[in-house]
Amino acid sequence: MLFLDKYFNNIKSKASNINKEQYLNYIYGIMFISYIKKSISETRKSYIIRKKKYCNDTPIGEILDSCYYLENSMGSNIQIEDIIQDIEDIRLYTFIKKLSSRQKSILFSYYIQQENEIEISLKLGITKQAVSKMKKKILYAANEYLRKNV
Amino acid sequence: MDTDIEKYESIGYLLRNIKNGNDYHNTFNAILEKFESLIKKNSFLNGEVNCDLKSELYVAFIKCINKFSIDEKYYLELLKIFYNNINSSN
Repeated sequence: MLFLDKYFNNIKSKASNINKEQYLNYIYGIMFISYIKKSISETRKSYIIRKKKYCNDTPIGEILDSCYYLENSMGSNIQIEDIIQDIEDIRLYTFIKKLSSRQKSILFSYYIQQENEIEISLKLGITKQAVSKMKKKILYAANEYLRKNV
Repeated sequence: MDTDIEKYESIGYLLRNIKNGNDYHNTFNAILEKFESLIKKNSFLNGEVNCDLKSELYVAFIKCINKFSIDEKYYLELLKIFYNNINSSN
């Protein structure tokens, strides 16, 4: 209620002749400014944290370009082995080579063929939960592996 | 302090216009003009303007405008409570 006190002290009407429109404009202004300041500082913080976590030497533009190239060059008949051979990062290449065929196929169908978890589960004959669990496990392992082998 | 009050009132006025759908484009630009300096200030990282961060801040700003709800009843009740408190104290 501090801002209301300030408002009435400054307007000197002391709640006798309050203009409803002006009052509402004032309150919306104050609320919006505080809201926007908070949200902007929060997005800035989250951006910095994200940047620290997933900082790569290659900028995002280059990665997107390479994806576009892959899509164009290979068309619809993409094979897992072709993609593995095209990986330029040695660490990522060695990590993916270590994965089992089932794990590879999950990653391949989720990220490259863009299938649902349900579709993958039907293909492999397991539950949807198992697919998401496996996917998380692989990504966690990849993260750990890439961190250790800088 | 009078200038502050005028500043808040002008922003509130613009917000009410934008929420009521009166001339969305121009009012949006007018609000953006007022907050552009805040966005620019926050988009600095390590002494340089970070374009990614700046674009994210613009997106956050647009989201803020869309999400902000104008609840007349609530604020008028707040005013009533305040008004009663002043009367009882006097």
